[in-house]
Amino acid sequence: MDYQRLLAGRSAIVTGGVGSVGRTVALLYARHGANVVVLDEDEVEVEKIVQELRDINQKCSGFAGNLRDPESIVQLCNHAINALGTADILVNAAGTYLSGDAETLEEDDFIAMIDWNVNSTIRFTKAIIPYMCDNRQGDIINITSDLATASLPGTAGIAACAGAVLAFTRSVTMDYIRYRVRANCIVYPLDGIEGRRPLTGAPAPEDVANAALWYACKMSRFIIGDMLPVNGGMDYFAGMRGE
Amino acid sequence: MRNYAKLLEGKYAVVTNGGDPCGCAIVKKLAMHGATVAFGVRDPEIGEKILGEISDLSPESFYLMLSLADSEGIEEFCRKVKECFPLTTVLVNNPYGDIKRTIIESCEEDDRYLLQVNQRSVMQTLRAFYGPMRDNRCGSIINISSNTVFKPVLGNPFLTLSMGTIGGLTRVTAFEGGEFYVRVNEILSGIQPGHSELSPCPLKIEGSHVEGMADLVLFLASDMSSYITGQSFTVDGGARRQLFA
Repeated sequence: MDYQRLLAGRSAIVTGGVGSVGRTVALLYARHGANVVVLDEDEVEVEKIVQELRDINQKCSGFAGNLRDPESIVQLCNHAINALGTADILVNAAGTYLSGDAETLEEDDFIAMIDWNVNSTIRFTKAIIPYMCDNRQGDIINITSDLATASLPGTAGIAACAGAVLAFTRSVTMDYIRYRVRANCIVYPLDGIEGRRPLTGAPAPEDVANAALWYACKMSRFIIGDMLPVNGGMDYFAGMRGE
Repeated sequence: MRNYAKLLEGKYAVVTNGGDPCGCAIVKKLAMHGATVAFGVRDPEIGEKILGEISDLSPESFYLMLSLADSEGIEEFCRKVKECFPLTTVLVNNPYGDIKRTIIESCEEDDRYLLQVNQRSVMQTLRAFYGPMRDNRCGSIINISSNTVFKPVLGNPFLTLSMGTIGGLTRVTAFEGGEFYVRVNEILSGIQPGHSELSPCPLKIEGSHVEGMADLVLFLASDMSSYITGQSFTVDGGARRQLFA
């Protein structure tokens, strides 16, 4: 295994590719030899990250479209497949966070969060997984909030979304592992959500990107349907918050 | 960009059971990535063989005779390693105890053996190496246990019992060590002690299974996982998830 080029020649699609995490994942994948397509909503920002990616690998590209619309997602996936020829890796990094508990969370906010975090993950997976099944291999990496397993006040919506993404990841694993398609989930603390954790500070986007690299490469070939918390240990520590 | 081919350059690592197939793969992987490794073995021939294979990659690595069933021997092993290494920053506890007897068939001697090998040995090495890591605010501890904790095997209750405590110990140590940048994680292995293949699982994996385990140890030992602590990773090709499917 060439550890300096862990993804040499592989094709990767990164949704939410202009956000801090998606962007860092895309750049790290490109440095490790992957042909990367980033998908996001802001055309100008997509163009910027594509320029950075092409400085590393000319075969990288990006497309802008509505990540909350089913038809737009199908179109974006078609563009990505046309550009790459195939899809070996799908990173679902698109998402948003709006605060509120069960009573105060506005209906529109909740629907927006479901669309961004859950529906986009399901729709991109649905569009890309047939190509992976045909190739008899594929790696799906869903990135979401660590509130999938820990609880903090005022985070009802994102916690529900993160839990759904985690459960969806495990279900995909069980359905598609016979085609050698692996799905795994990375959870991390989103910006603006403070929690006590054993490791102080907050994770850098590079920490999440390294986890995404780990799941995409052969180093993790044993691991399926798993969750990797890049959160300084908060998921168990949250139990102490009653102190 | 970080040098991903030498993720442990300049680090000193300890592997308690380097002689079994998994431990051997871990020792080689850490050495390949630039670590100087001290490892325990029960058979000196195996120790010499491994040392021969890594001597070019990591010339200062060495082995010591170690039986995890011998409490005093573990103390001696830790003392000698501390004399040789300026600072151990990676500790891999790879206990191996396994007695296939049912609860009715087993005796107290079995209990004592398994608890010493799989549980007390981990406490002893933690006691020896955690303090210096904490004082130097740097360290990664990886405790290897068994996926039988979640997916029990009939006729093997004591493996589940003795390995089951490692998860709790991992989380407590991570809790203590977090503010000192000492990370502690657990791997629930689907490769049973002494074996080199995974137990039956949904994922048909090509290539060496022990090599895959070693890659996870490398990830957790290196700065690639610098914000990951207190976690339990199941490496069993999906066998555990299948239980709940």
